[in-house]
Amino acid sequence: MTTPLLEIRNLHACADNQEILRGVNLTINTGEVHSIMGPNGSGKSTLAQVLAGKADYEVTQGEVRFKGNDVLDMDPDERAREGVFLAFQYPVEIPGVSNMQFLKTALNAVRKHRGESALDAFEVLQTLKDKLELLQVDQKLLERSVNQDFSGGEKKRYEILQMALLEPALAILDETDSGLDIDALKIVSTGVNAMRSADRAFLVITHYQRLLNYIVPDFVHVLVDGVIVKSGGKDLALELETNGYAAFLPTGASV
Amino acid sequence: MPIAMTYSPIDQFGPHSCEPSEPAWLTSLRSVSADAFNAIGVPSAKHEEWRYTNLAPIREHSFQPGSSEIAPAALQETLARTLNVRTATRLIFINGRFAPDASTMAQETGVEISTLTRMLRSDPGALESELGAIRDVDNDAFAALNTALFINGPVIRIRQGAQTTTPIHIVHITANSSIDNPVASHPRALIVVEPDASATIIEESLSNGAAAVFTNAMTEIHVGARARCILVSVSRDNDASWRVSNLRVQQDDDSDFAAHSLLLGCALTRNNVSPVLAGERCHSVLNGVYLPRNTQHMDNHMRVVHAAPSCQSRQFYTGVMQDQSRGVFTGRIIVEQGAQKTDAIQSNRNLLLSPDARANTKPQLEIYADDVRCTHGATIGQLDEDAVFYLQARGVAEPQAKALLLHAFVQESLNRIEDDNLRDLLTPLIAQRLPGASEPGPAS
Repeated sequence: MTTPLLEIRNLHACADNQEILRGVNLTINTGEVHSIMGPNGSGKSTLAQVLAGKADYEVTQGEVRFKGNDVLDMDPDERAREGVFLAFQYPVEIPGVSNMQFLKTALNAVRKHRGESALDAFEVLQTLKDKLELLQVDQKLLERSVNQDFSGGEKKRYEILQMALLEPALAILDETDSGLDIDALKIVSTGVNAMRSADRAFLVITHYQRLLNYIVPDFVHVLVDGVIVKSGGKDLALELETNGYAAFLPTGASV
Repeated sequence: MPIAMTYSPIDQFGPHSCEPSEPAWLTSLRSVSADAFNAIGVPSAKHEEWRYTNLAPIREHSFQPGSSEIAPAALQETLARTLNVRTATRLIFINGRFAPDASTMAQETGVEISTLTRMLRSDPGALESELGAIRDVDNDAFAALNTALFINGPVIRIRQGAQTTTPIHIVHITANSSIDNPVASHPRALIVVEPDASATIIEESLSNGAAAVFTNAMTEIHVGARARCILVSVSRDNDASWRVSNLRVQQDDDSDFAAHSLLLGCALTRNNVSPVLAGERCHSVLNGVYLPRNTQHMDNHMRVVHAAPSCQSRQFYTGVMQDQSRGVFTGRIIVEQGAQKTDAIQSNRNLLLSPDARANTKPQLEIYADDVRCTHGATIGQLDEDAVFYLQARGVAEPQAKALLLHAFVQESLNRIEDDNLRDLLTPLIAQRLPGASEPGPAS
């Protein structure tokens, strides 16, 4: 029996002394596409950030294993080099650091960890060419500063471009569809689907079911109040679209 | 009756030898300057202009001029540390005295390079109209002190229409100081760029030895009509020294001046930059980077005078303060009556890398014309934690992520130096000073 790619057991996490994750359990095997849906405030983004290693959150209980290793012990950059990729919900702007410089630095950090040789700017550009086309990102964007003056759609496409370049083992998409129109959604989905393989797993975090028409999941989980209350196949997403989250909330509560 | 011996503030700086061969006009100028200095003395914090900078270390010492002898091996070692400027003209000064054997001077048509001592000896009247001629905006005590006590310095004249093909590299070395008997040096420079001429000059200061030296430098630059002058100044004196520098510039019609300053050395630095835009349609850019660490104190004081219409001035100063250091910036813009259509921008950005680091920033606008555009902006902040995390989330270790962001912060200033070669001289100095490795990726 192969080791699961990601194993989350009884994960409790809090921020500002408030508990947000209250015992999350989740197993993801490589090659699978999982989706987590849930109402606002359920802890979806918190889960993504805790997995990526954001220091604002304190893990109070539980464990997370990635490729069998304890990941909570690792710095965010170690996790990224090991193959965890987080596509941010709100990618930050970094004036003064060009997109090209950023991509080259990130790629070479991951390559070095894998024992591969570093690429120069020209080689990085060659590697990027078909990905730029797939995600409809203008090459001229590479000269600009990271995410600076990018529209919402451009930022999200750029996140997926980075994912395509870094080839992670686990890609976590944190509400990648938020703020996207249908065209941008299709482009982003094409990019993600092109990356689906037996060597890769996805954790797609979303509030709306619509994205899952394009990125069809193998498993869907419902996160409410920091716990996964139900898991199922892709039909569970359609069920949620029809009935909403009401069935999973405590009596009297609203979304 | 015994004659009372009165102590004048200037006596603190050691015996000042008046060259017997100095022309009368200079002796007179020095006398007036000495009086001006004595009237003020070393400024205290009560002087508004010196509010953030404590000059006690200078007030508390008696100084001596210091010998300019350095053993050949030690001199070679110091010269090996200087910026690797590709040029055939490198002038070496030791404690404000010219070192001809260590210097090289290329012969270029229209580029006249000499020293104050030589000029005053060969043509005593030649500098009378230019030395000390640029307006003194603030009645600055240290400028007066320099005029009273300077020994020597470069005189550079670029004749009408001529240009420097490679930068002129001026190196000021301080040496032979000690804790009990510190050296004070007052190097002076006079640069005249005649109409339609252009010049690139690099001024660098560094120390031979670890003992403190007080350097009180003054550079005067005349930029003629339609002329261009680029000055790059790098301060790399040892961490014990003290430095006050006065850069005075006078610009004529349609002239272009840029001063790029990099402050790295000294326990205490006061960098005064005072261009007077006397002609119409001048451009003036004051571009500075200061990177204090430990307990260094770096005070940048701009005084830009718009004395004619349609001129454009830019002040861009960027500081990164580490440890318990302190950065100060005062940006004074004076727009005189009649200086209509003035376009002045001032921007000071500061990054504090530790809780004990400090920055002070103060814009000061004095506007007496009514059709002007003057904007000023200042920021004091820390590295964006979200940006650090974003880089980490892409595999870049925290020290390298912070280094990348710091370099990006300073790079904007470096990019204002148009010449790649000049920029490349400064990049490694900055990289060495900022924390974090320059090579990205994990250490393994």
